[in-house]
Amino acid sequence: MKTGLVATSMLAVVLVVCLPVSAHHGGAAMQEKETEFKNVTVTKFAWANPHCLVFFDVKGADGKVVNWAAETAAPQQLLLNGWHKTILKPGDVITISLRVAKSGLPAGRFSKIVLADGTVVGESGVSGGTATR
Amino acid sequence: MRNPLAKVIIAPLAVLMVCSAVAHAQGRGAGAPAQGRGGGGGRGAQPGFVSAGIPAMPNPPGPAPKRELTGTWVGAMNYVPGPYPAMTPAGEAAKKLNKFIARASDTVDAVESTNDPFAICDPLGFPRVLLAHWLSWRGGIEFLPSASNRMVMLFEHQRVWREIWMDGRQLPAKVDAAGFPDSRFYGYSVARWEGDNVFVIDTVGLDDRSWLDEAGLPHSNEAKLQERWTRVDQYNLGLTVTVDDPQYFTKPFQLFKAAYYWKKDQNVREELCIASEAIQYRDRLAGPSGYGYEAKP
Repeated sequence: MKTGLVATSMLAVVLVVCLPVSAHHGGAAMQEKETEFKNVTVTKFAWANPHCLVFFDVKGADGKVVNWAAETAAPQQLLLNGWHKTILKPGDVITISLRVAKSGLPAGRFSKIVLADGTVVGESGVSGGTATR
Repeated sequence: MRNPLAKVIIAPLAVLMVCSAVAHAQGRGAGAPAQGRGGGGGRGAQPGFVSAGIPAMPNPPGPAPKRELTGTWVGAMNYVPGPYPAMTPAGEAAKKLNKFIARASDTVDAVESTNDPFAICDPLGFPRVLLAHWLSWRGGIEFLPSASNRMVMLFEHQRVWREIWMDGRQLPAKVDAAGFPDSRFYGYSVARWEGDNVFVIDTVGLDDRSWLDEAGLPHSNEAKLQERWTRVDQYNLGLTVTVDDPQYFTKPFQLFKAAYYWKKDQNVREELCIASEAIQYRDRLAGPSGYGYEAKP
């Protein structure tokens, strides 16, 4: 079941990137390589402790929609790097890169988000794009 | 801040949660003790900042005002833990039960659940709250209209506060015993000035569910802690915290030393750990990933 779930979700993937990563807050629980989910829809952005969470829907080849959760840093850290409470909104179509949980369940540690307008939202800063966020 | 608080020396405490930590816990694959979670030690400040996320004031600091800690401060920076003495058998047993959340600088071999109080919004307690968020001290001597004999520290994390008496009263001789008060997450504190620039706080009566630091170092409810806050100059505070806990440690020791800097905008943010959000995080991220919360037996 878990394998199938991951496999289904992988159909939404365009690019798998292998990047060196350092251990983090449960880092051992995440795959080392990054997985990209292209053009997925944000369902919720939780501006919360202990970590912000980005929830997004991924539609698999079987047509089933699975809701994923990706964690970011905590709000007080993101604030310093240009994030704010509504930088992501339900309905936003994004491309998100994350390190997926080794468990195969729909969760992971975010690396980067690109919004539809080209804005790049990373933990170290927000850049590019045309819209004001 | 509300007017009644303007006359009170209050101290919200906050820290930037950077990716570093004290990693002295054993059995988690951790290496040697690493930099504490508190602030930019080792990260290199960018121009205009004294440390990561801590903007510098535009002017050099003036001399330290006498017997004055009023203001909003940021820390902990330049966090140096320990050194820690050997623990007693009871201390070692207590330490084994505490499973902290792996930090960026830790090398973890396996995914484990955590029982870190922070993970479920339990109180950080004292002294761990000193490592959390912005620290503010507000001028004055009153918290209540008739109060003029105490200092209150306000902490940004969870908007909690400590009441620190300066009226000569004695600390409780013990806690959690017949005829004595209950232990508390923020303990019981009294303070005095030593000279014009060192503020000394003694604290006892701490609830033993809290941790001494981010890595799960335990303490008993008999621990005695002392903070020595030094007003170095207009914008800088130094702090050392020592622990005397014969039940868990073989001798008194310095828990950590750290520095705090004047917060440029003097603003205290609302920084709450909200139970429903912690539950959401546990159920949607930590649990599925394998490091969810699991209470101590």
